[in-house]
Amino acid sequence: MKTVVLPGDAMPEGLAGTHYTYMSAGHAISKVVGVYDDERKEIMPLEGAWHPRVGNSIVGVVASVDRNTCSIDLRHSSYGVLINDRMSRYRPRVGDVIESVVKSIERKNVPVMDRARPIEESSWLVYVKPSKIPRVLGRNNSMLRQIEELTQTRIIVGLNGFVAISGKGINPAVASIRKIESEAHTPGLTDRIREMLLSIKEYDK
Amino acid sequence: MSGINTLKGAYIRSVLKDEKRIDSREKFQMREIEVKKEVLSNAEGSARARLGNTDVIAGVKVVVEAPHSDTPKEGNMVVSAELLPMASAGFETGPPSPAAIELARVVDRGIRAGGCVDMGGLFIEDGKVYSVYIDVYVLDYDGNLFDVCTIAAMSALMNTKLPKYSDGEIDRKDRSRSLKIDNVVSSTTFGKFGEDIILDMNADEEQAADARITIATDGKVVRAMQKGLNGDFTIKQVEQLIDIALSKNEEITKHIKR
Amino acid sequence: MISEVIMLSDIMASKINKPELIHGGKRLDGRKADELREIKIEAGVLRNANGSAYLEWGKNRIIAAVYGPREVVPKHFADPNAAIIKCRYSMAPFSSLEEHGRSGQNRRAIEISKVIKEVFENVVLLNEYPNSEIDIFMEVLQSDGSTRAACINAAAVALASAGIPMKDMVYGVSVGKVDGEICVDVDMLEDNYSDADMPLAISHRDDRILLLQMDGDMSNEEVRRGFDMAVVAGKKIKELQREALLAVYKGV
Repeated sequence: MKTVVLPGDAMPEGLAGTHYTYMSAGHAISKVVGVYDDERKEIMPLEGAWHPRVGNSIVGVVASVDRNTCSIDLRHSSYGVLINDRMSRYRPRVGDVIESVVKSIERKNVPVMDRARPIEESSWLVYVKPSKIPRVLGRNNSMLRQIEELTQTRIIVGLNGFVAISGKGINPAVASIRKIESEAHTPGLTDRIREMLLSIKEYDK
Repeated sequence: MSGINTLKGAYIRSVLKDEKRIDSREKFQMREIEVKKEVLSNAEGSARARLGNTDVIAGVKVVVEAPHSDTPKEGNMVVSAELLPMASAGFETGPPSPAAIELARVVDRGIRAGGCVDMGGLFIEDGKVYSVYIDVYVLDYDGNLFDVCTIAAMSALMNTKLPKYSDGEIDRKDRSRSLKIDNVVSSTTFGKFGEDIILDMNADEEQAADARITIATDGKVVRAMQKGLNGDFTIKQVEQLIDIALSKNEEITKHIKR
Repeated sequence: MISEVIMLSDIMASKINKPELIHGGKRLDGRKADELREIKIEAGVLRNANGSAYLEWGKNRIIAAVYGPREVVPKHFADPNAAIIKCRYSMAPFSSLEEHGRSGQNRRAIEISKVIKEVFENVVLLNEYPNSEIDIFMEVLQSDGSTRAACINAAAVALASAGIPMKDMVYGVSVGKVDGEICVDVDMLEDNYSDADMPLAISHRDDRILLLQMDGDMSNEEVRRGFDMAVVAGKKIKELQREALLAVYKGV
């Protein structure tokens, strides 16, 4: 069974500490607004910031360029660090939108990357709350593929929240991402997005 | 954030070439307008207005003061605007920014030049007049504050009541007299990208625009204008935009008058 | 002009003009001593903020918003071991029934912002986001007494709806001594003539006091009774805060 929990809520007996709980007098207490699944014995947060992990794909904006590193604005609690790749032909400039993968994490929440690719200029960038990104991707990226296919776009999703869209039907792709964001916690979303895209497809092609 | 601007700017311009916008609107289509009047009871007048995702609230306080020396038989009207830091990650705390001051002054000018408030009716006795303070608070920002703040300020004035003043005392419980409104203005703000012009920019479009022009009308004549940003307009373009502004008046003011 | 202002405030404070605040066991607005005003909370009302809440509490109208955790500006304020909280309480110039107020923060608002900040520094798990800042904005659109307690209730909901990790939720409530009687949730009129006023913020789980201010005169016994009443009233407030958050996730 799934239940919504709030910060300060005591979790059922026997739940060990997780990332979203802390222990108090032998009890696990929730730190966040989340859904507790008593089969999987875990809390999935419903809101909140991105917790960077090694291997996470990111999309960000180059905020400053130094001799050895660049600062990357990820709309995260701190800038990411991109170590300049001397083998690459790409030289980041301030303002570039880049995609990359987190290589390591320093000081608890500073993502470090060592390779980046610029996002093409004809793209559109939207920001989605990081807690809603898993819904934009869908199970095994099924939602993402569906949007890409029906709108003839290519979508690069950063787990930090930035999403870059290029291709033909950018407008309907953005509209579907906005819809996913606002209805993220409701079931049957994949079908509703499909319906919506099929109905506006004619208009935007 | 200039990178986001370049990337977004490139796409906004490329779709405008195909007569399209990023939110699939027509070039001269306003977003949905929603007005709620009398949302506060302490203020003498109030209204909350939404234009798409931009959300503002206007409150009117009426006080008794001395008149300005150049208009001894008329009341006073002051419009202020506050870009609350809660409304956008880009708004900062502190004294009013030049953008907030420009916003307040442009809204003020449209309403003042439109002769909307019966200023003579605010006269009480020699040395005593009503002053009408209109404060517009931006709660959530998604572009085009000029137009939505004018809608909110006008709507709040439409339901403003004057507290009773007699024998040197103001009685805020007695609000039987309504503020007299002689005219209703609407504001229409256009943005220019290259040679393409659009109405009612959202926040993304606003960040990428070359030039901006606000035209306030009462449906018959132009009442105030303000050109902004460092781009330019041709004389012909301004003339065309005035025609569009005049034609949009009814569509906007029906929400204010309702 | 100035003499009039002084006269007006003199009248407000003088006991001669003081109305009877409690009559036949009921307060001026018909409430019993331990009764709260009507409260409505809605979470997630703003699009740009990470979390937000709108609260109606009697005639109070409050909007609260939370941004962050985000980069600290200016950078030298950053704490390498923990997030910092910035708090802004302010009253709109049209919020009161009386004169047109000044926009922005006065000394009173700055003090209130500070004590509210300290409330949330206690419950927010700051060490999860070193080098970052969390901003809490509270705007009083209409005031009718006990606004700081009302703001704390809205801000706590906004923080939770922003997904900020917290060890506990918080509620705010005020206690006052009105016509010699201890009452919960004093409104503006009662506050003007009350013998004492004691705003409180208390944690949900273990009733810890996180904000306490008091002025007036109250005996030890009266303070104790005030705490008891606040905790009883708190049950209702906690429930309303929960409901507001759960309403956002109805479909889960």
